[in-house]
Amino acid sequence: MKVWLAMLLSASACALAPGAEHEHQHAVLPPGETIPGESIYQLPLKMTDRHGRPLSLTAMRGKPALVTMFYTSCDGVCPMLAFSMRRMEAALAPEQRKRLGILMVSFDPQRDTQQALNKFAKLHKLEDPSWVLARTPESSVRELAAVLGIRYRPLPGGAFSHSTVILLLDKQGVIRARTSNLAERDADFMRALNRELK
Amino acid sequence: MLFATAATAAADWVRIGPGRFDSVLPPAPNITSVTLAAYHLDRRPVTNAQFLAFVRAHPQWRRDRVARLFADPQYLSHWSEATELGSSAQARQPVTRVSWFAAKAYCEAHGARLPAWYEWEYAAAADEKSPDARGNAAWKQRILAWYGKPSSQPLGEVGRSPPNYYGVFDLHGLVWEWTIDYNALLVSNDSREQGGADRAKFCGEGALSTADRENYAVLMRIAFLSSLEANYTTANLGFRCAMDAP
Repeated sequence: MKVWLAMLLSASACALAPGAEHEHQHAVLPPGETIPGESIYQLPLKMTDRHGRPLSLTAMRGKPALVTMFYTSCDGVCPMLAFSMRRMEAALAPEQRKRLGILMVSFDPQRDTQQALNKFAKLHKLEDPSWVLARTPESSVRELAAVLGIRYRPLPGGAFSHSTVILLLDKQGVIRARTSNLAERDADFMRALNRELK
Repeated sequence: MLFATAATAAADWVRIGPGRFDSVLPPAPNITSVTLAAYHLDRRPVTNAQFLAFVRAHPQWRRDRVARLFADPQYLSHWSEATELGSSAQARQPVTRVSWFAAKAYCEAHGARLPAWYEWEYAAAADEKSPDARGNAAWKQRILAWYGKPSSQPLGEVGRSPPNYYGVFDLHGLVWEWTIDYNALLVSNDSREQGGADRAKFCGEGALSTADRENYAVLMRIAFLSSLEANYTTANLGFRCAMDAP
């Protein structure tokens, strides 16, 4: 209880908006294939990429992936998230790079239109096809954040307070590592990434 | 509005709001008051019997079938079987050991949703006689006493203590309750510590309202919810549903 209170009184807090919820369904797979129970690909999430193409979370299957959540009007930490993932990618051998998926999902489906995502991709040099920038409805944002363990809070005026985390998924969508260290190379995280790309 | 047809799931709602109040958790540093649209809130937490009916109708939520992503290994572990309560879980006790995903699925199956934190807090500010008893020191002391009680005793049945001003039971004194935005209440500091740059501080400083900082019972709720992950279950964590009011 002491820990909670200490955390509570030191943490910051801003706004929230209730989101519309949708009917929960389980992921549908081709016959004979299974997804591990703890895989985030259990979540039947529908997204749209920056080219306007529909995309399900399970489309990421088959490759290890880096995943994060962001929003394009964020001028501080979100470009750093992208920068940090680009640096991780650059540290890999070319054939490893080909086997890695990268997914950035917006907290802000209202403002992060296809155009906004394209602008962000261009500005931060994320136009390589291995990078997927996607939007998903508000209720799905909440579910995705929930399975990724990401805290976020819409603030009045359109900003978001959010935890900045990059997650490493194995090719089945099980979280294998996470890092909040954007400022420097996280050696443990890179080791985990190399392990998945072996 | 859709209500479950199963007799055990007969929902019993009250209409609350629209309203405006000062939350312990201000929307933003310079904004203290929260405006709520009218909503319906379950008068009681969801019971074991109600949740059992849901699990029987939606077998993907049985404890032996649910994906680990959506519920941890302790999910419904106090029931004797996947679809039987047995002797250690009473029908009218609030259901506990349910995850956020499971609670959310239950509400959605009833055409409802989990309440937002502000909806919960607004309803929970009432005592038996007034909609806002937060200035009443004796009442605050009384609800705070529950948090100091050992949790080894069996849970009481829902609806046994006097209803509050709105006719809602058990907001205090029985179980913790999930809210839809449990992961939006407090955002950890890590988004503000990157690169040593102050520009990363995009969440307002100042955080909780100092005006009501002695409202420990509510502060503890926020801290507890903020410590959870979506598949967590605990022996004292249940839920009730809400709905937008037409």
